[in-house]
Amino acid sequence: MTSRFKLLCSDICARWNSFWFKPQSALPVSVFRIGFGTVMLFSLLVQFRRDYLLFFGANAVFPTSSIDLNEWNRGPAFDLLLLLPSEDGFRIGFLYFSALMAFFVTIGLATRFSSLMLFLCYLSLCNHFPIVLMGGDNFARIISLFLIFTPCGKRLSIDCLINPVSSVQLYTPWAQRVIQVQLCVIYLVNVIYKFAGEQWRDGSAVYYATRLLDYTRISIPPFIDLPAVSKMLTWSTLALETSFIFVFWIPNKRIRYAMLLSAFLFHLGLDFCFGLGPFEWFFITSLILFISAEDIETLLSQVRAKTLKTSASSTLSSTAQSTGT
Amino acid sequence: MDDNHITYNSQNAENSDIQRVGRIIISLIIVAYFSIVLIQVSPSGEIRDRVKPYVDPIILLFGLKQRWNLFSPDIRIMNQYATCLITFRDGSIKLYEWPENRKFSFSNIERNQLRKFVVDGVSEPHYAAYWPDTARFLARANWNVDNPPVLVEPTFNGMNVPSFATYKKQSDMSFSKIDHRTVQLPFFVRHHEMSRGGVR
Repeated sequence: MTSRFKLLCSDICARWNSFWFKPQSALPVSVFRIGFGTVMLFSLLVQFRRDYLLFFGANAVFPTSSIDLNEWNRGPAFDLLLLLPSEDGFRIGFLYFSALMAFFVTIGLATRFSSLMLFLCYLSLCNHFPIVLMGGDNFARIISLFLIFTPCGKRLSIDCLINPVSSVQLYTPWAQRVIQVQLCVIYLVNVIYKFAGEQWRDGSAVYYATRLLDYTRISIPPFIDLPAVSKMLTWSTLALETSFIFVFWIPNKRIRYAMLLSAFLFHLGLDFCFGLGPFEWFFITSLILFISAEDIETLLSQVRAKTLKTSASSTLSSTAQSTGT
Repeated sequence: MDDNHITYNSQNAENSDIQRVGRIIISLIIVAYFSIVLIQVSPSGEIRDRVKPYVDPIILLFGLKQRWNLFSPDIRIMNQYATCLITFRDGSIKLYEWPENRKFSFSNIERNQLRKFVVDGVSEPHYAAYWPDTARFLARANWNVDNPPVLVEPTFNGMNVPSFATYKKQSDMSFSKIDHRTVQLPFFVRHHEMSRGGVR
């Protein structure tokens, strides 16, 4: 009994170590860094900037004392904005500094430092006025926290050009795994909530969602605006989101990539139909983490070869033109 | 070790004590993190309610908040927006509308936060604690030394979506009729509280 228990324990430990610590290539998380940084940059410069002073300015709609009382419950909250002089110029400067850090993360310049600063800035913005936050902001904040601990600057980055590292070098992927598991947790929680809702069970959820004027982006063509279509879309959403909890981990690449493609199209479709900010794009970029490093490497080498071929042929033709042959 | 990442090009790396300690610490962090996630997403209960006060400061400090209930469990069945009635000292009344209000033209990403604030935030009773601040802000924004605001009344306006049983095509829907209009917590403006301010 004891030996069987020991065996079971060692098996669990081995699986645990394999999942969180088995060395992996830094390529998927580096590609993910580029996508995530781009979406963050877009979020900060487009989503935050327009009404920034209304929520984050020195004369914001709610004073910090109210946020402290009602949101922070007088607890400890990290907010760098409070360290700055209470002037709009400094507040705007903070937003642009955050955007600069997002840009540095995207290009992979001082990646560890810039991802740390991006997290701290974004955390400050989120804490400073949490009323305007959406699910996408929560996900982005969690990603940016764990991105600090990934080797995301080891490939496809300026850091990599300055300090070249071997492309075959491997790293522990625990932080990348946390982001991956977090994504699946989001699907899981969302599906549990949805199954608890009557509208999702009776198939009317899509009908109600597409009637909310503040969210809806599209006018549904009347010929498909039918109860049966609403039911089908509602239940398809449930089925897809339920499958997303598990299928990204399937070793069979064909099935996994087919599901990743369906997840990509699903989130793209949601973004097309509903104005949810960058929410869907954070999900879409997170799907990159489930693509195998070898496949990304193959794709990159194909792109490189094509680029080289194009540049070589253009050089040849320009040389031919200049020599008149 | 390379930038805190364990590299695996050395054969004895697996046996390194430092590496083992590192793994244990990271494992504990992972377990702690997902325990915090579980506490947040699990339904209210005795254990959760007992543990949550200890976990809340950590969540706030590191920004670990988990809220993944977009469009669930049930979707809002009302198109809602907030307005405000501002009464001035001479008895005149002004209807204040938030930018983009009622046009519901929030689908543009630029106005996403304003949508969240106006539609899901300031009009919801859940945020009642902020109504005096909203009123103060609007009084400041509409300040006139000769005729200052004396009463600010945030107003909730709602239009019900027809039920699924009486299915109505999106193109046939009319959003002009307001089903609900509730004045929330009238706020009497006191002069000493006010200073000049502005809202764009």
